Amino acid sequence: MARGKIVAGILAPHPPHLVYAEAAPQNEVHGSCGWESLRWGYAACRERLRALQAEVLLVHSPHWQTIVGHHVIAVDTLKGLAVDPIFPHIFRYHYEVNFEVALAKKIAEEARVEGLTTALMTNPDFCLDYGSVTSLHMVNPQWDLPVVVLSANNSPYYFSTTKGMEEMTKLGVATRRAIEQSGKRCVLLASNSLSHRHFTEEPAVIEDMSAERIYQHSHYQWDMKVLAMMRAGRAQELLELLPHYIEETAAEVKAGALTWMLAALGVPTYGAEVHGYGTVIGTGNAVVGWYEDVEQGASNV
Amino acid sequence: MSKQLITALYMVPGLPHLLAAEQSPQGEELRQAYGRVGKEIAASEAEVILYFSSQWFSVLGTMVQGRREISGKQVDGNWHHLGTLPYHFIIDTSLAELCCQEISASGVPAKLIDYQGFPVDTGCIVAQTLLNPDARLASAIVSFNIYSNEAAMVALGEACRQAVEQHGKKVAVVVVSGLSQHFFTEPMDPRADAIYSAGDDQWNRRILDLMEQGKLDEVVALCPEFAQEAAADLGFKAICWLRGMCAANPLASAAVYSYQAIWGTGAGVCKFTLAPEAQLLAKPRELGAIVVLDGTKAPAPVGAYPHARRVGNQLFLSGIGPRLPEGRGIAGVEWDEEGKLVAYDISLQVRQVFANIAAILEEFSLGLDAIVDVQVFLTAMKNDFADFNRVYAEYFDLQTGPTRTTVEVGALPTPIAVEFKVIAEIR
Repeated sequence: MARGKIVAGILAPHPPHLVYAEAAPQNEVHGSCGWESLRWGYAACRERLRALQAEVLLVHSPHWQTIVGHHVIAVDTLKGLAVDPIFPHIFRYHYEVNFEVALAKKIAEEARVEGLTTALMTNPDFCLDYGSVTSLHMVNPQWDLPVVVLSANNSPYYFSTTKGMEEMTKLGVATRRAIEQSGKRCVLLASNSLSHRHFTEEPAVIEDMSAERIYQHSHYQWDMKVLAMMRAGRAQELLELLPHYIEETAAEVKAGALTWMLAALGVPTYGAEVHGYGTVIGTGNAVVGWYEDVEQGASNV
Repeated sequence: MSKQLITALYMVPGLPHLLAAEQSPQGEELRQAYGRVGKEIAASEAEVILYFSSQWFSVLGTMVQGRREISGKQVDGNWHHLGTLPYHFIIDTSLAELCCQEISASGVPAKLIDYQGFPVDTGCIVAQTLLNPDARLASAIVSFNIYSNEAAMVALGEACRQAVEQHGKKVAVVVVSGLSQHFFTEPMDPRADAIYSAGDDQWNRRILDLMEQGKLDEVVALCPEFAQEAAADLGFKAICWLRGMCAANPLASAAVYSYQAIWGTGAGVCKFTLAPEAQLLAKPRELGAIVVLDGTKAPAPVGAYPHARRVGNQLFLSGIGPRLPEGRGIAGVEWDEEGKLVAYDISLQVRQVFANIAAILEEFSLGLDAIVDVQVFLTAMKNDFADFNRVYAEYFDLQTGPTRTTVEVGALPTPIAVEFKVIAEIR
């Protein structure tokens, strides 16, 4: 069996507005337009991923929170209706998803080797969280690839951002080892926004883009600073800056997905491609990809 | 009117461990307390249970369940190993609509939620399963906005109370909330369950004790500190909502049916009983909310304001000057024959200010050491500051004294040269 590898890592935010705006057939509610810079960014990302012939998608979402350890879904399939508890008027999505159970179990096993507490989610009645559903849809709306879904252990909120990042780093290392043993070509999805302060009211027409803007200017400045570091391949520096960034912008990356992904990618020194940036109800969001072919190019240099 | 319509208010925990087939001794005690609440509600004249759960949170204003019948099954994200939780609610849609209407009228956007598959939170499912398993009573469920502060939560509760009053049916109010919220983060034997730390346990007991004493306002004021020190369940702001449901009746006292640990967190089952309205009207001083002295201990106010008003554990005093109790004299002043002010002694005036403040604080069994902040108003900063400062230092020092702000003002009511505005802490 060939050695498995991570062919890409994607910062894949999950505002349900994107699924609504593109009028996805799986969603019960269809918008007419909106948030194009992010949706077109996802389209560009999908093009890149198609060329990489990914076999499995792995997603880490802040909307499946766990307290006792890091959990991984380990059932063959789940089918259901995911209704966003915050935005139910725009996101009621019918999903059917197949899981790569062997890889899920291997990740849990390797995470235990790293000293983490883990658990397998085996209840067939479980409802997939809307964050995972949105990120998976935006990257692969055909749902024709098996997935692995990891929970967001709430240690960053429960203990501290630093403690949380330590755990997510270990989880990332464990994920990489498990993938290498799996023989699969994998894509990691870090389902996180950037700055994350919502407006608490929305316009009468949900997709009215004249009402869409960043919550405050400093959040925009921070988001740009972080994106510049991603583009420049300064992941280590970015990780060191994250606690400050989170403090200043309530960034959703606190939940750990970005840290997990960067650790799994080996803390890349090659530049990421920023496919798009846009705000959603005040929060900052970017679709950003770290790609294997870029890494190889960087190595060749 | 609300007193008759709200049969009782309860606080219950919402973790799914309580639904497990096998219970630890701690869980069994909580289950029994839950059973007692269920029997009380069933025996009461309540036709509706109004739920407010810390586990159903919203961002865009407030949501109210508006679907006539909600049933399904849920698997908790963290405690999925406990199995699938079936649920069934019959929603009193007219109460839901009234809640929406009153919440909107209070200035908070509110929406009725009527979607197949909308996730019902674990807390409400646990409470409904243990209190109203066959959905014999209708329900109403209101969401918890995570951006709301304590005052907004109280206002939300008040709006819901207005809805209950308009609705006209008798309602049992159930707040689903934990106390301290530090979980053990490793697998454990439930039989070995205990509160996460001694500090958390102390906090929980302090809060429950205040509830038992009918000091809900103090509990509300302590919420931020409780959250900081013991990770209180979403800032324990659900209790602020309950406070709003009590309206102008801050003496709702709790009977604690059970206090135990669930996976390290504090879990309490409590029943709140509203004080009789007659008691509130007859004995306003016993509320401890305000004090107006009769002029023998401290000079009477010169306008329509109290000497002091208590909010939670904070005591706000009106501006206090150096007038003398009993009469309208002012300490340390000399008048000419025509009654015009000739001279004043700022040191004597400052001392009288302290004496007057001490007399007011004494009504709350407090001393000057309870003061946490002082604003000082002087009419002649250049001439008086040095003497004022010297006398002030006789009462407070740098290490233990309150924070202080001193400003010069053009004039003060009555010919006084100094006035203090202080805030004290009720410990």
